[in-house]
Amino acid sequence: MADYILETKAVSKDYKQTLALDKVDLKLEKGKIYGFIGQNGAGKTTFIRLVTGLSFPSDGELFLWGKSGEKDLQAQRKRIGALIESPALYGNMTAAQNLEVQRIQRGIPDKSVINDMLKLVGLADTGRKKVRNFSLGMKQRLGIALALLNKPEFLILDEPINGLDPAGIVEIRNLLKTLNKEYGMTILISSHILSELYNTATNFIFIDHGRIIEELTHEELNEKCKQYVEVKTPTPDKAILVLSEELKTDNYQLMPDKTIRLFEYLDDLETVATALAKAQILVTGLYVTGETLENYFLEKIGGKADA
Amino acid sequence: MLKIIKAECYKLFHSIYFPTIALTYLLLFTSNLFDSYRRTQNIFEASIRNIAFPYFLILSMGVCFFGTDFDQKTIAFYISAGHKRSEIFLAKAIVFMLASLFITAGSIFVHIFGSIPFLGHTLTAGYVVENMVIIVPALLSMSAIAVLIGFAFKNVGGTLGAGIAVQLIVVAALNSKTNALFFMKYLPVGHSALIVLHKLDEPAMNYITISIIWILVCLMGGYLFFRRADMK
Repeated sequence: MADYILETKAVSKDYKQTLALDKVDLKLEKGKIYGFIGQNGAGKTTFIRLVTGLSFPSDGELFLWGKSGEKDLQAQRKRIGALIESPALYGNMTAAQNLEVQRIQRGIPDKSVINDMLKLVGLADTGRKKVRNFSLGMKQRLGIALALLNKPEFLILDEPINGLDPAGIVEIRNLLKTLNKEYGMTILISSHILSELYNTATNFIFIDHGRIIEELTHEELNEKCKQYVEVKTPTPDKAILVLSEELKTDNYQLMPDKTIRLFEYLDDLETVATALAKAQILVTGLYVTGETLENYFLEKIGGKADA
Repeated sequence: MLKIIKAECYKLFHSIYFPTIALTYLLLFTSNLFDSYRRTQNIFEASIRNIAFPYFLILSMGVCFFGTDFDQKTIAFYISAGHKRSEIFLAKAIVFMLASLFITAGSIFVHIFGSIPFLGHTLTAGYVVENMVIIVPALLSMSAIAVLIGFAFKNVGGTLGAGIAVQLIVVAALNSKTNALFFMKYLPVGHSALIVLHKLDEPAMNYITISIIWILVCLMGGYLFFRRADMK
């Protein structure tokens, strides 16, 4: 039990007549970056609220670092940093003052942590500018700084890159990777930008209609979303011979519809085309294709849009 | 809990609404002083005669103090940081009630000390203390009602609407033609009226007890609304 940062056992949450979470069983291991993927209303934020104590499960049990029960959970939450949906900020205060409120309430004695955090998220030069005058991206950065203020062991970020420009997204991605690598920080990150999650996370959790529908490692997802060269020809048997003898590869698959999936030469279609042409094989289709994370996710939830 | 109290004090002293409401309260509280002074026996009575009038400003402060914290979701920081809800509630209630007392009781003392250059020392310390012993719990219980409303509605609109409704009910009750004295005794805000009318016909402890009961009921009610509430 203690090996897991977070464990839930059949956790459910209902709001009057809506079942937001349905018997969720999850185990998050230390030192990993979990991408939490689901549509709007799938239950991601509800789950995060339960973990952070903002709401209470209707049923089931929740463990943080192996501890359960309201009192123990409250104590363990001191080890968590969280940014949930849009950052909650005091608009009439500066970025430094917002951080100071959190420093005081968390009982962090070292005041220098405020400047360190402002530098870390690129807000060191905001000076006396009130937070209500910040752009959405600046607010998001400040929200991340607030979540990191206590140097948490477990960081929960709900849609952290909303409103960030491309450079900001890359910065935050690198920051998260560094925190994970250097400090062993476990991170649970939900986002609508699936490609971004793909670039950041080591593990993926798919949620739909309050139920966990799949958990995958990055390697497993890569396998499922593998890119390949699709070869269409009326003579697939001859084409396979060419692949084996001329291109010296057995990394292909003959599909039931007689197309060939070649998992090599993705960047070198010319060589494949030349080899097949030399063998006088008629090629009706030759292109790189495969599942994207978006397609895979849509397939999982039954083709509905709005990831 | 001390950490939350410190954080709440930091927020309060860095806010615009606290000094603005304090100043507006003092101005409104003072605006009727000259008229009241002609109708009462001394500056203390003149001062507390209008105590219910600017009460809506304390309720407004409740809107800023509690309503915006729920609306902006900033109260979630305390919860997700692992503080007990009871500690969060108590810390916020304590800071709010003391801030309100600073404004309300402070305004009375401004009147008393501010009048000395014009009227001289017309009041004895004993007289002021004797009456403030009743007034201070009454003022605290008035702000406890704002705490209850703030935690019950958990948003700006509800807190403001309920606050205005409470103000209207209190004023109507105190001006009741048939039961005014009854309401003055059992509504904390009415204790000041009893002092002005010289109708304190029971021991001070009875009035203090009524105020304490109001405070406890409001705080317990507010906590019950917050204890297991799902935050936005």
